[in-house]
Amino acid sequence: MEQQQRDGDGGAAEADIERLPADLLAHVLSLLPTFRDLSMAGGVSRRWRRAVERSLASRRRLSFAGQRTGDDTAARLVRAAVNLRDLDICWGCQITDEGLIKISSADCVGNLTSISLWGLAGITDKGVVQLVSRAYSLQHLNIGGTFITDESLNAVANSCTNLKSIILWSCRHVTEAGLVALVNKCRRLECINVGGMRVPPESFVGLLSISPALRIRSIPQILNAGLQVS
Amino acid sequence: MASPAMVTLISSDDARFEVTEAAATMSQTIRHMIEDGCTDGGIPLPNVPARTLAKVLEYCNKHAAATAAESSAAGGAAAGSDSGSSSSADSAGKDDGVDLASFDKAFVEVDTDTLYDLLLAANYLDVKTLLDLCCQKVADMIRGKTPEQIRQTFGIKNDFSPEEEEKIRKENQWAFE
Repeated sequence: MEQQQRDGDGGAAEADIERLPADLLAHVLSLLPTFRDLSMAGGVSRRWRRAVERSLASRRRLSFAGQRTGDDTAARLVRAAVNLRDLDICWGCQITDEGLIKISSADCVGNLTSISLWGLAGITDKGVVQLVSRAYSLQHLNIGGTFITDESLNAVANSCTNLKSIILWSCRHVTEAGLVALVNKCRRLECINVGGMRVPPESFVGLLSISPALRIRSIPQILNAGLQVS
Repeated sequence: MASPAMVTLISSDDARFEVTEAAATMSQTIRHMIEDGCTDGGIPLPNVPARTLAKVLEYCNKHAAATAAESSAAGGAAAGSDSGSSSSADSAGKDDGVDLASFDKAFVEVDTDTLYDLLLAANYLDVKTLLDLCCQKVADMIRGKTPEQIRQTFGIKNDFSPEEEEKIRKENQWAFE
């Protein structure tokens, strides 16, 4: 507000900011903290729109956490972010399977090393399977608080052979069979968070017999003690 | 204590500035010129006018002094045995972080024209921290605004066709919900 008034008074006729070369404008835009800001900047002029795309292309990490980003917006931004490694679409986003399917066709998906879909209540196996099936480079997946089943875990097991850690916190529809398939196929898996799942505690012993070095997190304390003894 | 090495910088409008090498070499561009031995008779900076160069050097002097104070405070004993030469440096070192942060904040409280001049000069001279500071300032002026407010702030013309405008409005709708 203050700025606008000042400029109004000064009557600055020329768009001085247009003196900044495209790469510098893109750098400035990459410092904007939210995608709301970035979207707004993309609506200013044609030059600014190109600068927004350029700043997206240089991003390694995108986070939509806590923003009400919808399917189309998220997919458009991810598609523009050709060098992306780390995608965080967590709670608050209005992402459905349709959005995940659109995102899965983005060029960067095969290079993603980290994806978080934490707490997305609107997604199911349909979208998740599509996305993880193309995410061959994935090392870290947070899919806690979603309604996925073993079908998604099987897709992870088949496609994401480099997976190092997975958070399945409160994935109540995942069964022991899904976990076994995952641990069997993802031989680089180091850590798995199973808090709030409905899997019988004995099954964790089974996982450790497949992969003794696996760290299983968030098992209730008593069970954990039992596991360490066994 | 030997007096610090000095270099001469020459602005685009032929003004000469004597600065310490420590301050001048905060600019990677100048550092490379010094390393290449191109300092005889002063270092010409054909892209930077005196007004902007003076301001950039104010920044470099402040930061170079703070860096020197920091390293001397870290290197020497806490008790001031050599009080004569180091007393000012010691006091500068104490509230270094706070001091520099408030200096930086005040430094970019300038009109937008000056800010762009600084930004371009920092880019050309390759003074990374100053470039970051200026870019962040511009970003802060953009954030939280609608496209129309951004246009007003920076005096930018809307060159979208009505169709493009409508498409963008639809794309951005989520942000207003």
